[in-house]
Amino acid sequence: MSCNSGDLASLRPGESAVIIQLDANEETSAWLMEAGFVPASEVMFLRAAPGGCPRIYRVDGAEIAIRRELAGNIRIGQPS
Amino acid sequence: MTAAPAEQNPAAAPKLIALVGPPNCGKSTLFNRLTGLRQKTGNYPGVTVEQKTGRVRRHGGMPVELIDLPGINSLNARVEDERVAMDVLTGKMPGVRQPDSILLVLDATALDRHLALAFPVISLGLPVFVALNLADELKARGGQVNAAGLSVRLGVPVALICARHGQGIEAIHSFLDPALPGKTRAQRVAPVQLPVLNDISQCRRWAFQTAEGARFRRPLPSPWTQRLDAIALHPVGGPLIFLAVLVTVFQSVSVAARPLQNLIEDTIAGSAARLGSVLPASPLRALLLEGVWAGVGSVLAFLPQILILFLLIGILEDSGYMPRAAVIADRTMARFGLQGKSFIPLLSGYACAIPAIMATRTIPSRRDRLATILVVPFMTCSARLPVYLLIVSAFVPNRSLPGPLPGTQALAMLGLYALGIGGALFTARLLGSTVLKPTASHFMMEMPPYRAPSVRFLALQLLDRARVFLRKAGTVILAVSVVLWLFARLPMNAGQLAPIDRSFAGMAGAAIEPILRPLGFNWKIGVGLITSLAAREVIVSTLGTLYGVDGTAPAGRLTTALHRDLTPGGAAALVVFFAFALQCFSTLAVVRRETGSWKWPAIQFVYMTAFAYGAAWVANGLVTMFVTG
Repeated sequence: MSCNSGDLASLRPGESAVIIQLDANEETSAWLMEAGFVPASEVMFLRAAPGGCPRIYRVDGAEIAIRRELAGNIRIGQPS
Repeated sequence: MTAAPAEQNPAAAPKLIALVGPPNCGKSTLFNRLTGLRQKTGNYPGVTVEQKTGRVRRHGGMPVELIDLPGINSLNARVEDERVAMDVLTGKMPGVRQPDSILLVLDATALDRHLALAFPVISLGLPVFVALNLADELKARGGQVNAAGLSVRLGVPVALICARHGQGIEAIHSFLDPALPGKTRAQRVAPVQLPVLNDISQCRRWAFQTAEGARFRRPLPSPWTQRLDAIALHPVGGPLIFLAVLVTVFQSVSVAARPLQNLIEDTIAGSAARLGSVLPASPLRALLLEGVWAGVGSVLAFLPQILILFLLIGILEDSGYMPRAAVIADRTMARFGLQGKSFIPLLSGYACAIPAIMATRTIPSRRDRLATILVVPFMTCSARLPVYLLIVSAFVPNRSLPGPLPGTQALAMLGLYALGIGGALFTARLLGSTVLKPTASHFMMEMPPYRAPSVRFLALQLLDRARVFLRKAGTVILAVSVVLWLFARLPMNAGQLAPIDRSFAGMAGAAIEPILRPLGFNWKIGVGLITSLAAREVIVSTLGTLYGVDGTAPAGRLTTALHRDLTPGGAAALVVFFAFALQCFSTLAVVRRETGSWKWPAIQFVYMTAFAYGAAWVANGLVTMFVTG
């Protein structure tokens, strides 16, 4: 992880980052937040499904699969 | 409404306890542990959410009724499951009285996240008992929590339990009935004033702080899950395993069940012969042997197939492979305007479209959900299986093929399954480019750790399914068989039963024959198509009855009779018609309930019938051309 900012889709397997902001409408944001994608939370990219999408992230100890396109709407920074 | 506790006399009404918890917390396992076989499955009025109630199994004490609510992550009432849970808990669900208390099940390995549900549940003000399930897994993976400390913070009793193996269950029993003498009396806990929380972030923060206060240490990720995922989601190995799983499911259903099926068929034939030799010849004997025995018997023979299918789907779900399969399927599904979450309903559709359509509730996008509902009935449900097996065993010679290929009959079955998938994907595409244009659809799926499937849980589930099927065979199919037999042997003429071609059935079959002629069907198939509207598999018992009563038919098995009476083109057309047609009133009723109007089921019925007719016509033409050279 070299970047100070970027989006979740730019992580490589095994890398972690901290969520800064969700670039999504209110409904999608609420939905992401309920699953644990909340600003200031740490996320780790575990692995992608065959073909590169969807991607499985570990957040709050849970493993959640989302599509790459949606991961691209989650802005991240370096873990503290 | 089959299971409304409110229907009982209020004076004698048992205490009603609601079982609440997030998905994947082991709530169903606990429900089965507490109720065993004393459970009933029904539906809430007006919605398709399944309602499970059960009597708690215990010695002595007050009777206690348990109601299992759908798995939910919050009480925000954003999805139907949450609305149903909220309505039941607040006493607003018609036909269900308000529960006396709540048994909240949380996954101890994910306590910090799951506590976010404890907040709204405890705030309702009913007595709550918190069961922290999967305590063994928490410990095995190096996590910990102080249940007593959590109890003080929440103001309600808390116990660590393991529903799968039964540890900690006595604490739940003493909560359910405090009068019960026992070592572990429910702890008396001072109530706590909970803070006011307005949004997800605040609720989450409270959950994390409360867990931390109870000295919760999150367990390490399951090493087994990591290792298995590296294989199950491997770029090359993953899809291969996925395909192997699908082929195993089909093979087991069409091949592994065969010996059991033969056993049941022989038993029925043997008992019919014995019964025939005992009873004096009379119209009643004819009704019993030709109507009841032949009709119900030919459907009962398919019980092994149906149970094997439900067993395999149960294992896939219980082991945790199903969400991985959904993730692998997502990319392909997306290409057809569906998504990974559509995969689970579609696979369940192999057993029955009704639970499959109910399973679409987990798809949050309304558009994706509707598209899935509309294509699910194309999947080869177990009711089509009897028809396929009958035609395939009558018309496809069973030869083994070289190498790893399955036999010709298994291959034909596989082809019919593929036909169903093809119809579903074609229709999904068609919907996506016409009436249901894809939106920016979102897919999200939690990957639970892999777990060894619980034999007890699977067995209970299978018993439940077998019971439902046998009840159907004993009521609907029995009634249809008897009515049909009358239909096929009446009107009586000078005290004699009518020959089949001059019976009501023969007349009706002859009346619709012109429409069916281009498909290569005779009047008997026509009668079968009419009766199969009650349930697809009824056509098998209808044909059993029709050929059983037809004096010209050989006394042997139905397959021989069919082979003699139907052209290869007609046989192909028949299975193709069954692959695509929506001959199931129950499915239409569920789609109506699920979509809120008759519009979609009407469109679906007309579309699928037209599709089936067209495809059957083509199949008849092609096969006839091929066979006659």
